[in-house]
Amino acid sequence: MNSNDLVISTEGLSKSFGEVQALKSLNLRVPQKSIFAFLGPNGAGKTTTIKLLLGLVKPTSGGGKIFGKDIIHESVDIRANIGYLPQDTHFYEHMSARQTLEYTAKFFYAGPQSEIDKRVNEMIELVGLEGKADRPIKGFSGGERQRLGIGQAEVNYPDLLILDEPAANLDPQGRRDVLEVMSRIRKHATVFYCTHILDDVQRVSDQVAIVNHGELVTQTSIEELLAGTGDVIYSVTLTGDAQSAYTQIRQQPWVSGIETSQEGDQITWQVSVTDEVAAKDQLMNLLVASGVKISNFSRKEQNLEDVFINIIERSQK
Amino acid sequence: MSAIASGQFQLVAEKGWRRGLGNLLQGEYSAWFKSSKWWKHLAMWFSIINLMMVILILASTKIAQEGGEMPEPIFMYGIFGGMFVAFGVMIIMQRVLIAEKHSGTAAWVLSKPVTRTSFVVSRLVVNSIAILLTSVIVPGVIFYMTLGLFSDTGWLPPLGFIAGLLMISLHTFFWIALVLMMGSLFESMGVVIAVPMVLFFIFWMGTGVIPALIYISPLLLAFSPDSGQMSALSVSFMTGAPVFSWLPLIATVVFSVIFVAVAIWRFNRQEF
Repeated sequence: MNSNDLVISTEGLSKSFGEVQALKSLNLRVPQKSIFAFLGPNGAGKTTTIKLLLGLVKPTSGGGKIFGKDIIHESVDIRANIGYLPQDTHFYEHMSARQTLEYTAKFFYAGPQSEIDKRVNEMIELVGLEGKADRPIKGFSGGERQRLGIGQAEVNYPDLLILDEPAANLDPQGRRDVLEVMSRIRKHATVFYCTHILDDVQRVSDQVAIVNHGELVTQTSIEELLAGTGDVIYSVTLTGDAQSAYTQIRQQPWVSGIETSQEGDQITWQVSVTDEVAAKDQLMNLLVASGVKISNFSRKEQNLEDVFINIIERSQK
Repeated sequence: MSAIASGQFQLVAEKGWRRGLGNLLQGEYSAWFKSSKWWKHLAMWFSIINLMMVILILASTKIAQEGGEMPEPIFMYGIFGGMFVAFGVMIIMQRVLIAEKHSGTAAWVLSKPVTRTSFVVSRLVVNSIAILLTSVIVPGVIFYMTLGLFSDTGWLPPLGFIAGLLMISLHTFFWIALVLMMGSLFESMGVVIAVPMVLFFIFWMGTGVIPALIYISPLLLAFSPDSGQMSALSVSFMTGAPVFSWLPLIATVVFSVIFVAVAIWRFNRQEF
Protein backbone atom coordinates (compact mmCIF):
# COMPACT_ATOMS: atom_id res chain seq x y z
CA MET A 1 0.00 0.00 0.00
CA ASN A 2 1.31 3.45 -0.96
CA SER A 3 2.02 5.69 2.04
CA ASN A 4 -0.18 8.35 0.41
CA ASP A 5 -3.12 5.97 0.75
CA LEU A 6 -2.65 5.78 4.49
CA VAL A 7 -4.39 8.10 6.93
CA ILE A 8 -2.60 6.72 9.99
CA SER A 9 0.81 5.07 10.00
CA THR A 10 2.92 4.37 13.07
CA GLU A 11 6.49 3.10 13.33
CA GLY A 12 7.58 1.37 16.52
CA LEU A 13 5.13 3.43 18.55
CA SER A 14 5.73 2.57 22.20
CA LYS A 15 4.55 3.89 25.52
CA SER A 16 5.52 3.01 29.07
CA PHE A 17 3.94 4.24 32.28
CA GLY A 18 6.68 3.68 34.82
CA GLU A 19 7.44 -0.02 34.80
CA VAL A 20 4.35 -0.89 32.78
CA GLN A 21 4.83 -1.09 29.03
CA ALA A 22 1.39 -0.19 27.71
CA LEU A 23 2.29 -0.27 24.03
CA LYS A 24 5.16 -2.16 22.40
CA SER A 25 6.47 -1.04 19.05
CA LEU A 26 3.16 -0.65 17.25
CA ASN A 27 3.27 -0.51 13.45
CA LEU A 28 -0.21 0.42 12.36
CA ARG A 29 -1.45 1.12 8.82
CA VAL A 30 -4.90 2.62 8.43
CA PRO A 31 -5.99 3.10 4.81
CA GLN A 32 -8.05 6.05 3.63
CA LYS A 33 -11.86 5.86 3.68
CA SER A 34 -11.80 2.63 5.65
CA ILE A 35 -13.78 1.72 8.72
CA PHE A 36 -10.94 0.40 10.82
CA ALA A 37 -11.73 -1.60 13.96
CA PHE A 38 -9.03 -1.60 16.60
CA LEU A 39 -9.72 -4.54 18.89
CA GLY A 40 -8.23 -6.06 21.98
CA PRO A 41 -9.11 -7.13 25.50
CA ASN A 42 -9.29 -4.59 28.35
CA GLY A 43 -5.88 -3.08 29.05
CA ALA A 44 -4.49 -4.17 25.67
CA GLY A 45 -3.34 -0.63 24.80
CA LYS A 46 -6.21 0.59 22.61
CA THR A 47 -7.00 3.82 24.45
CA THR A 48 -3.29 4.53 24.94
CA THR A 49 -2.85 4.25 21.16
CA ILE A 50 -5.68 6.70 20.56
CA LYS A 51 -4.26 9.17 23.09
CA LEU A 52 -0.86 8.90 21.41
CA LEU A 53 -2.42 9.61 18.02
CA LEU A 54 -4.20 12.68 19.44
CA GLY A 55 -1.13 14.04 21.23
CA LEU A 56 -2.71 13.66 24.66
CA VAL A 57 0.22 11.48 25.74
CA LYS A 58 3.73 11.41 24.31
CA PRO A 59 5.39 8.21 23.06
CA THR A 60 8.32 6.72 24.95
CA SER A 61 9.82 5.77 21.60
CA GLY A 62 8.79 5.53 17.97
CA GLY A 63 6.33 7.82 16.27
CA GLY A 64 3.72 8.10 13.62
CA LYS A 65 1.94 10.18 11.05
CA ILE A 66 -1.64 11.17 10.43
CA PHE A 67 -2.45 12.79 7.06
CA GLY A 68 1.35 12.67 6.55
CA LYS A 69 1.90 14.96 9.56
CA ASP A 70 3.99 14.06 12.58
CA ILE A 71 1.87 13.10 15.61
CA ILE A 72 4.37 14.65 18.03
CA HIS A 73 5.28 17.96 16.39
CA GLU A 74 2.19 18.71 14.28
CA SER A 75 -0.47 17.48 16.65
CA VAL A 76 -2.57 20.66 16.66
CA ASP A 77 -2.70 20.73 12.83
CA ILE A 78 -3.69 17.06 12.82
CA ARG A 79 -6.47 17.67 15.33
CA ALA A 80 -7.94 20.34 13.06
CA ASN A 81 -9.07 17.50 10.77
CA ILE A 82 -10.07 14.96 13.39
CA GLY A 83 -13.26 14.23 15.29
CA TYR A 84 -12.81 12.34 18.55
CA LEU A 85 -15.22 10.54 20.84
CA PRO A 86 -13.54 9.61 24.14
CA GLN A 87 -14.31 6.36 25.96
CA ASP A 88 -15.80 8.29 28.87
CA THR A 89 -17.52 11.38 27.58
CA HIS A 90 -16.97 14.43 29.81
CA PHE A 91 -18.40 17.79 28.93
CA TYR A 92 -18.98 21.00 30.86
CA GLU A 93 -22.04 20.25 32.97
CA HIS A 94 -23.35 23.82 32.95
CA MET A 95 -23.60 23.83 29.14
CA SER A 96 -26.53 22.49 27.16
CA ALA A 97 -26.06 20.05 24.27
CA ARG A 98 -26.49 22.94 21.83
CA GLN A 99 -23.89 25.07 23.63
CA THR A 100 -21.47 22.12 23.73
CA LEU A 101 -21.82 21.56 19.99
CA GLU A 102 -21.42 25.29 19.29
CA TYR A 103 -18.39 25.45 21.59
CA THR A 104 -16.84 22.48 19.78
CA ALA A 105 -17.63 23.90 16.33
CA LYS A 106 -15.92 27.18 17.19
CA PHE A 107 -12.60 25.39 17.68
CA PHE A 108 -12.73 24.83 13.92
CA TYR A 109 -14.88 27.62 12.49
CA ALA A 110 -14.74 31.36 13.18
CA GLY A 111 -18.06 31.98 11.47
CA PRO A 112 -20.46 32.88 10.06
CA GLN A 113 -22.71 32.28 13.07
CA SER A 114 -25.67 31.31 10.84
CA GLU A 115 -23.66 28.45 9.30
CA ILE A 116 -22.44 27.31 12.71
CA ASP A 117 -26.04 27.31 14.00
CA LYS A 118 -27.09 25.30 10.94
CA ARG A 119 -24.36 22.72 11.54
CA VAL A 120 -25.22 22.49 15.23
CA ASN A 121 -28.89 21.87 14.40
CA GLU A 122 -27.85 19.21 11.88
CA MET A 123 -25.80 17.42 14.54
CA ILE A 124 -28.61 17.61 17.09
CA GLU A 125 -30.90 15.96 14.54
CA LEU A 126 -28.24 13.42 13.53
CA VAL A 127 -27.85 12.11 17.09
CA GLY A 128 -31.52 12.43 18.00
CA LEU A 129 -31.28 15.01 20.77
CA GLU A 130 -33.88 17.44 19.41
CA GLY A 131 -36.02 17.38 22.54
CA LYS A 132 -33.12 17.86 24.93
CA ALA A 133 -30.81 20.20 23.05
CA ASP A 134 -31.32 23.15 25.36
CA ARG A 135 -31.21 21.34 28.68
CA PRO A 136 -28.04 21.34 30.83
CA ILE A 137 -25.92 18.24 30.29
CA LYS A 138 -25.83 17.46 34.01
CA GLY A 139 -29.30 15.88 33.63
CA PHE A 140 -28.31 13.67 30.67
CA SER A 141 -28.26 9.86 30.83
CA GLY A 142 -25.19 7.87 29.77
CA GLY A 143 -26.75 7.16 26.38
CA GLU A 144 -27.61 10.82 25.78
CA ARG A 145 -24.07 11.84 26.66
CA GLN A 146 -22.78 9.24 24.22
CA ARG A 147 -25.05 10.61 21.48
CA LEU A 148 -23.81 14.12 22.20
CA GLY A 149 -20.27 12.78 22.10
CA ILE A 150 -20.84 11.42 18.61
CA GLY A 151 -22.40 14.73 17.53
CA GLN A 152 -19.45 16.80 18.77
CA ALA A 153 -16.99 14.40 17.11
CA GLU A 154 -18.74 14.85 13.77
CA VAL A 155 -19.45 18.60 14.02
CA ASN A 156 -16.46 19.61 11.85
CA TYR A 157 -17.09 16.89 9.23
CA PRO A 158 -13.64 15.46 10.02
CA ASP A 159 -11.43 13.61 7.57
CA LEU A 160 -10.68 11.12 10.33
CA LEU A 161 -13.12 10.12 13.04
CA ILE A 162 -11.60 8.41 16.09
CA LEU A 163 -14.18 6.70 18.26
CA ASP A 164 -13.34 4.98 21.54
CA GLU A 165 -16.20 2.57 22.28
CA PRO A 166 -18.84 4.46 20.27
CA ALA A 167 -21.69 2.06 21.07
CA ALA A 168 -21.03 1.88 24.80
CA ASN A 169 -24.01 3.02 26.91
CA LEU A 170 -26.34 2.90 23.92
CA ASP A 171 -29.56 0.93 23.59
CA PRO A 172 -30.04 -1.28 20.47
CA GLN A 173 -31.68 1.62 18.60
CA GLY A 174 -28.81 3.95 19.49
CA ARG A 175 -26.28 1.29 18.50
CA ARG A 176 -27.94 0.90 15.12
CA ASP A 177 -27.93 4.68 14.66
CA VAL A 178 -24.20 4.83 15.41
CA LEU A 179 -23.46 2.11 12.86
CA GLU A 180 -25.52 4.00 10.30
CA VAL A 181 -23.62 7.21 11.01
CA MET A 182 -20.31 5.35 10.63
CA SER A 183 -21.40 3.79 7.33
CA ARG A 184 -22.53 7.20 6.03
CA ILE A 185 -19.30 8.93 7.10
CA ARG A 186 -17.09 6.48 5.20
CA LYS A 187 -18.02 8.24 1.95
CA HIS A 188 -15.90 11.22 2.89
CA ALA A 189 -13.87 10.14 5.92
CA THR A 190 -11.92 7.37 7.62
CA VAL A 191 -13.28 5.88 10.82
CA PHE A 192 -10.86 4.42 13.37
CA TYR A 193 -12.63 2.90 16.33
CA CYS A 194 -12.33 0.62 19.34
CA THR A 195 -15.16 -1.57 20.51
CA HIS A 196 -15.98 -4.69 22.44
CA ILE A 197 -19.09 -5.39 20.37
CA LEU A 198 -17.72 -7.76 17.75
CA ASP A 199 -21.06 -8.15 15.94
CA ASP A 200 -20.81 -4.46 15.03
CA VAL A 201 -17.26 -4.91 13.78
CA GLN A 202 -18.31 -7.72 11.47
CA ARG A 203 -21.22 -5.64 10.15
CA VAL A 204 -19.52 -2.37 9.29
CA SER A 205 -15.72 -2.68 9.33
CA ASP A 206 -13.48 -3.44 6.41
CA GLN A 207 -10.13 -3.46 8.24
CA VAL A 208 -9.28 -4.93 11.63
CA ALA A 209 -6.27 -4.78 13.91
CA ILE A 210 -6.03 -6.78 17.12
CA VAL A 211 -3.73 -5.82 19.99
CA ASN A 212 -2.97 -7.78 23.12
CA HIS A 213 -0.66 -6.84 25.99
CA GLY A 214 0.39 -3.76 24.03
CA GLU A 215 1.46 -5.71 20.95
CA LEU A 216 -0.10 -5.82 17.53
CA VAL A 217 -1.21 -9.42 16.97
CA THR A 218 -2.72 -9.06 13.54
CA GLN A 219 -3.87 -6.46 11.04
CA THR A 220 -5.86 -7.42 7.99
CA SER A 221 -9.15 -7.05 6.17
CA ILE A 222 -12.23 -8.46 7.86
CA GLU A 223 -12.71 -11.01 5.03
CA GLU A 224 -9.16 -12.33 5.35
CA LEU A 225 -9.46 -12.49 9.09
CA LEU A 226 -12.64 -14.55 8.94
CA ALA A 227 -11.38 -16.75 6.11
CA GLY A 228 -7.78 -17.42 6.85
CA THR A 229 -6.52 -16.83 10.30
CA GLY A 230 -7.76 -19.92 12.10
CA ASP A 231 -8.00 -23.58 11.14
CA VAL A 232 -11.21 -24.82 9.55
CA ILE A 233 -13.19 -26.91 11.99
CA TYR A 234 -15.44 -29.85 11.11
CA SER A 235 -17.98 -30.92 13.69
CA VAL A 236 -18.73 -34.68 13.69
CA THR A 237 -21.22 -36.52 15.89
CA LEU A 238 -20.99 -40.29 15.82
CA THR A 239 -21.69 -43.55 17.67
CA GLY A 240 -19.88 -46.88 17.67
CA ASP A 241 -16.20 -47.80 18.09
CA ALA A 242 -14.59 -44.42 17.65
CA GLN A 243 -11.09 -45.29 18.89
CA SER A 244 -9.69 -46.68 15.64
CA ALA A 245 -11.32 -43.89 13.63
CA TYR A 246 -9.83 -41.33 16.02
CA THR A 247 -6.31 -42.82 15.68
CA GLN A 248 -6.53 -42.95 11.92
CA ILE A 249 -7.84 -39.41 11.50
CA ARG A 250 -5.44 -37.92 14.04
CA GLN A 251 -2.52 -39.32 11.98
CA GLN A 252 -3.52 -37.36 8.88
CA PRO A 253 -1.04 -34.56 8.15
CA TRP A 254 -3.85 -32.05 7.51
CA VAL A 255 -5.46 -32.61 10.95
CA SER A 256 -4.11 -30.25 13.59
CA GLY A 257 -6.29 -31.39 16.47
CA ILE A 258 -9.43 -33.12 17.63
CA GLU A 259 -11.50 -31.95 20.60
CA THR A 260 -13.70 -34.72 21.98
CA SER A 261 -16.86 -34.60 24.06
CA GLN A 262 -19.36 -37.33 24.88
CA GLU A 263 -23.04 -37.35 25.86
CA GLY A 264 -24.47 -40.84 26.40
CA ASP A 265 -23.27 -42.94 23.48
CA GLN A 266 -23.03 -39.87 21.25
CA ILE A 267 -19.46 -38.74 20.68
CA THR A 268 -18.78 -35.28 19.25
CA TRP A 269 -15.47 -34.31 17.66
CA GLN A 270 -14.31 -30.87 16.65
CA VAL A 271 -11.73 -31.68 14.00
CA SER A 272 -9.37 -28.81 13.22
CA VAL A 273 -7.87 -29.08 9.76
CA THR A 274 -5.13 -27.09 8.07
CA ASP A 275 -5.95 -28.14 4.50
CA GLU A 276 -9.61 -27.73 3.75
CA VAL A 277 -9.44 -29.37 0.32
CA ALA A 278 -7.85 -32.54 1.73
CA ALA A 279 -10.37 -32.60 4.56
CA LYS A 280 -13.28 -32.23 2.15
CA ASP A 281 -11.95 -35.12 0.04
CA GLN A 282 -10.93 -37.54 2.76
CA LEU A 283 -12.50 -36.90 6.18
CA MET A 284 -15.93 -38.33 5.44
CA ASN A 285 -14.43 -41.35 3.60
CA LEU A 286 -12.15 -42.14 6.53
CA LEU A 287 -15.08 -41.99 8.94
CA VAL A 288 -17.28 -44.22 6.80
CA ALA A 289 -14.45 -46.70 6.24
CA SER A 290 -13.85 -47.01 9.99
CA GLY A 291 -17.40 -48.26 10.48
CA VAL A 292 -18.74 -45.63 12.86
CA LYS A 293 -22.30 -44.38 12.52
CA ILE A 294 -22.37 -40.68 11.67
CA SER A 295 -25.37 -38.64 12.82
CA ASN A 296 -23.95 -35.19 12.08
CA PHE A 297 -21.16 -33.91 9.84
CA SER A 298 -20.81 -30.19 9.27
CA ARG A 299 -18.25 -27.48 8.64
CA LYS A 300 -18.30 -25.07 11.53
CA GLU A 301 -18.73 -21.44 10.46
CA GLN A 302 -16.46 -19.16 12.45
CA ASN A 303 -17.62 -15.72 13.42
CA LEU A 304 -15.43 -12.83 14.45
CA GLU A 305 -15.86 -13.62 18.13
CA ASP A 306 -14.40 -17.13 17.60
CA VAL A 307 -11.55 -15.74 15.56
CA PHE A 308 -10.88 -12.98 18.08
CA ILE A 309 -10.79 -15.40 21.01
CA ASN A 310 -8.55 -17.82 19.07
CA ILE A 311 -6.12 -15.08 18.18
CA ILE A 312 -5.99 -13.70 21.71
CA GLU A 313 -5.50 -17.16 23.22
CA ARG A 314 -2.74 -17.98 20.74
CA SER A 315 -0.98 -14.70 21.40
CA GLN A 316 -0.97 -15.50 25.12
CA LYS A 317 0.72 -18.88 24.63
CA MET B 1 -9.56 19.99 5.63
CA SER B 2 -12.10 18.38 3.34
CA ALA B 3 -14.19 20.46 1.00
CA ILE B 4 -17.32 19.44 2.85
CA ALA B 5 -15.82 20.62 6.10
CA SER B 6 -14.81 24.09 4.92
CA GLY B 7 -17.94 24.83 2.86
CA GLN B 8 -19.34 28.24 3.68
CA PHE B 9 -17.33 28.46 6.87
CA GLN B 10 -14.52 30.80 7.81
CA LEU B 11 -11.84 28.67 9.40
CA VAL B 12 -10.25 29.70 12.69
CA ALA B 13 -7.20 31.79 11.81
CA GLU B 14 -5.22 31.69 15.09
CA LYS B 15 -1.67 30.42 14.68
CA GLY B 16 1.12 29.20 16.96
CA TRP B 17 0.51 29.00 20.70
CA ARG B 18 -2.72 31.03 20.33
CA ARG B 19 -4.57 28.19 18.52
CA GLY B 20 -8.00 27.89 20.12
CA LEU B 21 -7.44 30.80 22.51
CA GLY B 22 -10.41 32.91 21.34
CA ASN B 23 -12.91 30.11 21.83
CA LEU B 24 -11.37 29.04 25.12
CA LEU B 25 -11.59 32.62 26.42
CA GLN B 26 -15.19 32.82 25.22
CA GLY B 27 -16.01 29.52 26.96
CA GLU B 28 -14.45 30.62 30.26
CA TYR B 29 -16.10 34.04 30.00
CA SER B 30 -19.50 32.34 29.52
CA ALA B 31 -18.89 30.08 32.52
CA TRP B 32 -18.33 33.16 34.71
CA PHE B 33 -20.48 35.89 33.25
CA LYS B 34 -23.34 34.13 31.45
CA SER B 35 -24.28 32.26 34.60
CA SER B 36 -25.07 33.23 38.18
CA LYS B 37 -21.44 32.69 39.17
CA TRP B 38 -20.30 36.33 38.86
CA TRP B 39 -23.05 37.90 40.91
CA LYS B 40 -22.84 35.20 43.58
CA HIS B 41 -19.14 35.99 43.98
CA LEU B 42 -19.85 39.72 43.89
CA ALA B 43 -22.53 39.36 46.57
CA MET B 44 -20.15 37.28 48.69
CA TRP B 45 -17.30 39.81 48.49
CA PHE B 46 -19.72 42.73 48.99
CA SER B 47 -20.86 41.04 52.20
CA ILE B 48 -17.35 40.21 53.39
CA ILE B 49 -15.64 43.46 52.44
CA ASN B 50 -18.15 46.27 52.01
CA LEU B 51 -20.70 45.44 54.71
CA MET B 52 -17.89 44.84 57.20
CA MET B 53 -16.27 48.14 56.22
CA VAL B 54 -19.59 50.01 56.66
CA ILE B 55 -19.93 48.50 60.14
CA LEU B 56 -16.32 49.43 60.94
CA ILE B 57 -16.76 53.00 59.67
CA LEU B 58 -19.94 53.47 61.71
CA ALA B 59 -18.31 51.91 64.77
CA SER B 60 -15.13 53.99 64.45
CA THR B 61 -17.20 57.20 64.10
CA LYS B 62 -19.15 56.35 67.25
CA ILE B 63 -16.01 55.36 69.20
CA ALA B 64 -14.27 58.55 68.04
CA GLN B 65 -17.23 60.60 69.33
CA GLU B 66 -16.82 58.85 72.68
CA GLY B 67 -13.11 59.70 72.69
CA GLY B 68 -11.84 56.19 71.90
CA GLU B 69 -9.54 55.01 69.07
CA MET B 70 -9.92 52.41 66.32
CA PRO B 71 -7.70 51.50 63.39
CA GLU B 72 -8.26 53.65 60.31
CA PRO B 73 -10.79 52.02 57.92
CA ILE B 74 -8.19 52.21 55.17
CA PHE B 75 -5.87 49.85 57.13
CA MET B 76 -8.73 47.48 57.78
CA TYR B 77 -9.62 47.51 54.08
CA GLY B 78 -6.12 46.25 53.31
CA ILE B 79 -6.73 43.27 55.59
CA PHE B 80 -10.22 42.49 54.26
CA GLY B 81 -9.28 43.10 50.63
CA GLY B 82 -5.89 41.44 51.02
CA MET B 83 -5.97 38.57 53.47
CA PHE B 84 -9.56 37.42 52.98
CA VAL B 85 -9.37 37.71 49.22
CA ALA B 86 -6.12 35.71 49.19
CA PHE B 87 -7.86 32.85 51.00
CA GLY B 88 -10.84 33.20 48.65
CA VAL B 89 -8.49 32.95 45.66
CA MET B 90 -6.98 29.73 47.03
CA ILE B 91 -10.43 28.18 47.34
CA ILE B 92 -11.69 29.37 43.94
CA MET B 93 -8.54 28.66 41.94
CA GLN B 94 -7.70 25.25 43.44
CA ARG B 95 -10.25 23.62 41.13
CA VAL B 96 -9.32 25.45 37.95
CA LEU B 97 -6.81 23.02 36.40
CA ILE B 98 -7.15 20.04 38.74
CA ALA B 99 -10.92 19.59 38.40
CA GLU B 100 -10.60 19.69 34.61
CA LYS B 101 -7.77 17.16 34.67
CA HIS B 102 -9.71 14.82 36.97
CA SER B 103 -13.08 15.13 35.23
CA GLY B 104 -11.68 14.58 31.73
CA THR B 105 -12.89 17.90 30.28
CA ALA B 106 -9.26 19.02 29.84
CA ALA B 107 -8.52 15.90 27.76
CA TRP B 108 -11.67 16.48 25.72
CA VAL B 109 -10.80 20.13 25.00
CA LEU B 110 -7.18 19.23 24.22
CA SER B 111 -8.37 16.72 21.62
CA LYS B 112 -9.51 19.75 19.59
CA PRO B 113 -7.13 22.04 17.67
CA VAL B 114 -5.99 24.00 20.72
CA THR B 115 -2.58 24.39 22.31
CA ARG B 116 -1.97 23.64 25.95
CA THR B 117 -0.54 27.12 26.39
CA SER B 118 -3.79 28.72 25.22
CA PHE B 119 -5.70 26.40 27.59
CA VAL B 120 -3.69 27.66 30.60
CA VAL B 121 -3.72 31.28 29.43
CA SER B 122 -7.51 31.24 28.98
CA ARG B 123 -8.02 29.92 32.52
CA LEU B 124 -5.57 32.47 33.91
CA VAL B 125 -6.94 35.50 32.05
CA VAL B 126 -10.67 34.98 32.59
CA ASN B 127 -10.37 33.84 36.21
CA SER B 128 -8.05 36.75 36.99
CA ILE B 129 -10.44 39.28 35.44
CA ALA B 130 -13.45 37.74 37.17
CA ILE B 131 -11.76 37.48 40.58
CA LEU B 132 -10.26 40.97 40.39
CA LEU B 133 -13.58 42.47 39.28
CA THR B 134 -15.71 40.77 41.91
CA SER B 135 -13.29 40.85 44.85
CA VAL B 136 -11.06 43.88 44.32
CA ILE B 137 -12.30 46.44 41.79
CA VAL B 138 -16.05 46.60 42.46
CA PRO B 139 -15.73 46.26 46.26
CA GLY B 140 -12.87 48.78 46.09
CA VAL B 141 -14.97 51.37 44.26
CA ILE B 142 -17.85 50.82 46.71
CA PHE B 143 -15.40 51.23 49.60
CA TYR B 144 -14.12 54.47 48.05
CA MET B 145 -17.69 55.84 47.90
CA THR B 146 -18.45 54.62 51.44
CA LEU B 147 -15.31 56.24 52.77
CA GLY B 148 -16.10 59.55 51.03
CA LEU B 149 -19.73 59.66 52.08
CA PHE B 150 -19.76 58.20 55.59
CA SER B 151 -16.32 58.42 57.21
CA ASP B 152 -14.25 61.20 58.74
CA THR B 153 -11.49 60.31 56.25
CA GLY B 154 -13.51 61.87 53.45
CA TRP B 155 -12.71 61.65 49.72
CA LEU B 156 -9.25 60.25 49.04
CA PRO B 157 -7.25 61.42 45.99
CA PRO B 158 -8.66 59.20 43.18
CA LEU B 159 -5.29 58.51 41.52
CA GLY B 160 -3.73 57.48 44.81
CA PHE B 161 -6.71 55.23 45.51
CA ILE B 162 -6.46 53.65 42.03
CA ALA B 163 -2.73 53.03 42.60
CA GLY B 164 -3.60 51.47 45.98
CA LEU B 165 -6.20 49.21 44.33
CA LEU B 166 -3.59 48.24 41.75
CA MET B 167 -1.31 47.08 44.58
CA ILE B 168 -4.13 44.99 46.07
CA SER B 169 -4.84 43.60 42.57
CA LEU B 170 -1.19 42.60 42.13
CA HIS B 171 -1.25 40.93 45.54
CA THR B 172 -4.39 39.02 44.49
CA PHE B 173 -2.83 38.08 41.14
CA PHE B 174 0.21 36.66 42.97
CA TRP B 175 -2.05 34.12 44.71
CA ILE B 176 -3.99 33.40 41.50
CA ALA B 177 -0.73 32.63 39.65
CA LEU B 178 0.64 30.56 42.56
CA VAL B 179 -2.47 28.37 42.88
CA LEU B 180 -2.63 27.95 39.09
CA MET B 181 0.98 26.76 39.10
CA MET B 182 0.27 24.38 41.98
CA GLY B 183 -2.67 22.98 39.98
CA SER B 184 -0.34 22.22 37.08
CA LEU B 185 2.28 20.60 39.33
CA PHE B 186 0.11 18.43 41.57
CA GLU B 187 -2.90 16.17 41.27
CA SER B 188 -4.22 16.61 44.81
CA MET B 189 -6.49 19.54 45.64
CA GLY B 190 -5.29 19.31 49.26
CA VAL B 191 -1.69 20.01 48.24
CA VAL B 192 -2.77 22.76 45.84
CA ILE B 193 -4.49 24.70 48.62
CA ALA B 194 -2.16 23.73 51.50
CA VAL B 195 1.10 25.02 50.03
CA PRO B 196 -0.20 28.58 49.31
CA MET B 197 -1.77 28.71 52.80
CA VAL B 198 1.49 27.69 54.46
CA LEU B 199 3.32 30.26 52.31
CA PHE B 200 0.81 32.92 53.33
CA PHE B 201 1.44 32.27 57.03
CA ILE B 202 5.21 32.20 56.46
CA PHE B 203 4.99 35.67 54.86
CA TRP B 204 2.67 36.84 57.62
CA MET B 205 4.34 35.41 60.75
CA GLY B 206 7.81 34.56 59.43
CA THR B 207 9.07 38.16 59.33
CA GLY B 208 9.59 37.91 63.11
CA VAL B 209 12.14 35.13 62.51
CA ILE B 210 13.57 36.33 59.19
CA PRO B 211 13.03 40.12 58.96
CA ALA B 212 14.36 40.24 55.37
CA LEU B 213 11.33 38.21 54.29
CA ILE B 214 9.29 41.42 54.33
CA TYR B 215 11.19 42.69 51.27
CA ILE B 216 9.93 39.87 49.10
CA SER B 217 6.52 39.57 50.72
CA PRO B 218 3.49 40.05 48.45
CA LEU B 219 1.42 40.73 51.60
CA LEU B 220 3.03 44.15 51.95
CA LEU B 221 1.26 45.25 48.78
CA ALA B 222 -2.14 44.89 50.48
CA PHE B 223 -1.60 45.01 54.22
CA SER B 224 1.29 45.21 56.59
CA PRO B 225 2.08 42.21 58.77
CA ASP B 226 3.58 44.75 61.21
CA SER B 227 1.73 48.04 60.80
CA GLY B 228 3.69 49.61 63.67
CA GLN B 229 6.91 49.35 61.64
CA MET B 230 5.82 49.86 58.05
CA SER B 231 2.82 50.68 55.89
CA ALA B 232 1.47 48.50 53.13
CA LEU B 233 2.07 49.88 49.65
CA SER B 234 -1.68 50.17 49.07
CA VAL B 235 -2.08 52.31 52.19
CA SER B 236 0.93 54.44 51.23
CA PHE B 237 -0.56 55.15 47.81
CA MET B 238 -4.06 55.81 49.15
CA THR B 239 -2.92 58.16 51.93
CA GLY B 240 0.03 59.70 50.12
CA ALA B 241 2.49 58.43 52.74
CA PRO B 242 6.06 57.52 51.68
CA VAL B 243 6.55 54.03 50.30
CA PHE B 244 8.45 51.77 52.72
CA SER B 245 10.21 49.82 49.95
CA TRP B 246 9.65 49.03 46.27
CA LEU B 247 11.19 45.58 46.62
CA PRO B 248 7.94 43.79 47.60
CA LEU B 249 6.30 45.15 44.44
CA ILE B 250 9.18 43.99 42.22
CA ALA B 251 9.34 40.60 43.95
CA THR B 252 5.59 40.07 43.59
CA VAL B 253 5.67 40.83 39.86
CA VAL B 254 8.72 38.61 39.29
CA PHE B 255 7.27 35.72 41.30
CA SER B 256 3.92 36.00 39.50
CA VAL B 257 5.60 35.85 36.10
CA ILE B 258 7.65 32.82 37.20
CA PHE B 259 4.53 31.05 38.51
CA VAL B 260 2.67 31.57 35.22
CA ALA B 261 5.69 30.43 33.19
CA VAL B 262 6.07 27.28 35.29
CA ALA B 263 2.32 26.54 35.00
CA ILE B 264 2.50 26.77 31.20
CA TRP B 265 5.74 24.77 31.01
CA ARG B 266 4.41 22.01 33.24
CA PHE B 267 0.98 21.80 31.58
CA ASN B 268 2.69 21.40 28.19
CA ARG B 269 4.44 18.29 29.53
CA GLN B 270 1.48 16.64 31.16
CA GLU B 271 -0.33 13.57 29.87
CA PHE B 272 -4.10 13.23 29.76
